[in-house]
Amino acid sequence: MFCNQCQELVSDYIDGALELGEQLQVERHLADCEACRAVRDDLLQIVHFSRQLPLQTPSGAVWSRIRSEVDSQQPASVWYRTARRLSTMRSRHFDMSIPQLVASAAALVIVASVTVALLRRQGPVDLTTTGGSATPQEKSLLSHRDVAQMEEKINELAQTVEQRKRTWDPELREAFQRNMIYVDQSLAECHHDLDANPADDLSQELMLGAYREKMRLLASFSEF
Amino acid sequence: MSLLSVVLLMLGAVGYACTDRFERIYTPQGAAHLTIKNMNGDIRVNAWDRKTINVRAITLPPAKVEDRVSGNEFTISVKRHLPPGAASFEVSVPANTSITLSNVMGKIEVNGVAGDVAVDSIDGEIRLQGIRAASVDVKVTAGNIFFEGDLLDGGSCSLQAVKGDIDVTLPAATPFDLNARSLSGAINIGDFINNLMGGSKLRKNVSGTHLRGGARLSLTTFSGRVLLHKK
Repeated sequence: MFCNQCQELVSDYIDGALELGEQLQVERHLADCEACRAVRDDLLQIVHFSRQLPLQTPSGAVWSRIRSEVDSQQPASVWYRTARRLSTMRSRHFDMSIPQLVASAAALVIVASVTVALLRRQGPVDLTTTGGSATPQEKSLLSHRDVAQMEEKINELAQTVEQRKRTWDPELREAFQRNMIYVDQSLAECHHDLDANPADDLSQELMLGAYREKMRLLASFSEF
Repeated sequence: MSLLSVVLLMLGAVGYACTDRFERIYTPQGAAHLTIKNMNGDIRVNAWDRKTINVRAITLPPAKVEDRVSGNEFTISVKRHLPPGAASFEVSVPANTSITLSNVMGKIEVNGVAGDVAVDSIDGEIRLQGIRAASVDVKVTAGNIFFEGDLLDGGSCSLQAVKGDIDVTLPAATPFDLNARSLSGAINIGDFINNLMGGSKLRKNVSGTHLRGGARLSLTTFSGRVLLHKK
């Protein structure tokens, strides 16, 4: 596989949207090519950053105003919209180069960051709410405090991993990135399901499990 | 560069390519608990009809294996280094030994064990065969999980993967309480579906009681299939 082929597929690779054969080809190429790994790492950082943005609960009026300004098209949360925008590129068949893709993703992150900053001015933080329709009472399994504690722990572990990652060899780095993608994809799907049905016990249980998996993964790699 | 430096460099290069061996034989007094903490490499545990625990590991430096014994508790650990090196374990245990395995990268296989089994892994297939334990708890981030064995009345078997299939084979006459969940994959419990009472039979969640119930069987994958077969 050549670099241009790999870079065309790398966003789909991050999405987990490749067939097994293509996935293995990309992984083999990434193992040998520092330039393509750098492209992949850039994309991953954007995806990870956007997914780690804190989730907010504006009042109804504020939410309506923000939503109409920022996203008049889709009803999902900022967090989810940003993640889905990246993850659905394959199905939409965008004809974009990697730099364009990175620039677009970066722009989305900036929009999301500005939105979060605006939301922060309006009221208290509610880490469990992923959309405008859910009330805290509807998420009985996932208490605010639990989710906040998990996210705090995840952020701590992620910082440790980020510091240590510089010393890792390519095999370890590859294993971490790949598994982190799997966990983040699962978390994104859980968020999506909860956006659609905030009171669904199964989705809440699975999201709790996905958070725990992320903590387990980070804790394991933070020891290297 | 002096001649001595050249010789040391050559010896160092040769040493790095060589593998080391770790071998121990433990003689527990009664049921034992064996813990193996690995980083990179396969682990295979087989039950045998002797009363000793044999541990053999082949390591690729800088991986270094250490052991600790406290009564019937045996702990084997690979010291964490960068680069991680590798260590592959081949272990034989009395069938009633409880096993706790943790690994980051590598396959794990456990055969014929009747003591409790706990596996915590990140990347690699998990294969449990001929298991008849009161408690089985497996977590893996990326890797398929295969379980073949039986469930004890009142026991629990929890298998969880983030990305991977969960493939379980049980005797047709085994009673259990099932909770199978897959976020984005199929759940197929084969003929067991005919005798599954109560619970739910949804796309992402199949639960219910098989025969009189008793053992708790929890199967969860976020991206993969849940498959349940009759032996």
